[in-house]
Amino acid sequence: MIQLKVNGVEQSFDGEPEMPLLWYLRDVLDLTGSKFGCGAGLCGACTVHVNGQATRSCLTTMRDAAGKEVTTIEGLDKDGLHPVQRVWMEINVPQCGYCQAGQIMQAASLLNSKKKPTDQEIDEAMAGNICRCGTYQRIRAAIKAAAGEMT
Amino acid sequence: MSQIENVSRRRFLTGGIIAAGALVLGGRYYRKLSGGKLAHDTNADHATLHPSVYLGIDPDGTVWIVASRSEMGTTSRTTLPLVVADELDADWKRVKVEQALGDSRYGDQNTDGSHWIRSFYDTMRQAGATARLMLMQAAAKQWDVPATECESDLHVVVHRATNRRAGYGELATAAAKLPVPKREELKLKPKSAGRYVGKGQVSYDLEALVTGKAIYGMDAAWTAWCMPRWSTRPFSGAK
Repeated sequence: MIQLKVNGVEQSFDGEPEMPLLWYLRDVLDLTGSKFGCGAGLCGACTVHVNGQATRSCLTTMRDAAGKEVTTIEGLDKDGLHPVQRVWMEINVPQCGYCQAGQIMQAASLLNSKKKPTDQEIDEAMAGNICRCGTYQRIRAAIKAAAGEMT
Repeated sequence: MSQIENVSRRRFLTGGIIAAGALVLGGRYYRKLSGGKLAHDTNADHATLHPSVYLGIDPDGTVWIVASRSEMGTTSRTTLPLVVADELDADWKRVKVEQALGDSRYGDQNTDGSHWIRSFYDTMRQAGATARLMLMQAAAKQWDVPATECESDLHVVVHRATNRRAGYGELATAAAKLPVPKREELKLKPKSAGRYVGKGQVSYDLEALVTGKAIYGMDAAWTAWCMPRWSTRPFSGAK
């Protein structure tokens, strides 16, 4: 039996330990905010926090997630108003939105470790999150704005 | 990983389009299978004033606008309803956009070819103009003034000469008793009078998009449905 915490709630899982965390989040817990994009850690759409670190949930097995604290886009803030989400709305970042949960989780993780990231640090941290609509400029602007808001 | 397969953009997109298309077709067949019972009627269908399949107005002033196409990431779900709201002179904050399922009454629902604004711009304007005219006629009747002297302002009908005004919600019940005007009777607003179109409105779904609440084709689930799929391992590496 695998025990883990998802968005602050204790969960136990007795299925296949090699099952990707993303499958568990989406299909078992019905948390569909994290997206499947490539299933191979190439696009970043499935990014969640595992013990506070941005992690590709499609490549994380349930065995790896055992005993960990997982946060998804649904649990980033109980009112959906994390500073990153707030500026994301102010700056109108998303177009289709499919990659945005991953982008937001990656950005929130970056800002947890670096209060004032430079352009280069933003580009490096966000390089694994692909946006087909090409919202990169707005993402970078939003991260800078959020950095000002997170104290 | 031993092998990386190159999935072209086109193939990737095709998968998404099929997923979204399945939603629309699904509703159609559900309707047929359920013996014509309209399980997927919209709130617009049940609104007090419902002169078009694309919109309805309730006495509390809520304007329901139906997005008849699948959202494919180009914000059609915002843009087409916005055209209706503009022509209706509705307050966008009081508009609720609802997603239509597949139904021939909406006309072509294919979401392809980048043509839905071109193909549906006039239809959307006519839907908004129809409701606006009926609201103005209802107000004119109530105030005993010629309808031609009434005009719309944001979510209200006004008669400037007598300084009277009535909200769309208040007028909905009376307007619903009037005959739906013919297309030739409609007077479309000049483009310069628009409030929303071309003014940089944000997506209706913006909040849903940043909180993970937006439902994409892949997220849709029906517990009562049998979903056909090919037999395969549940995930890569499973036995």
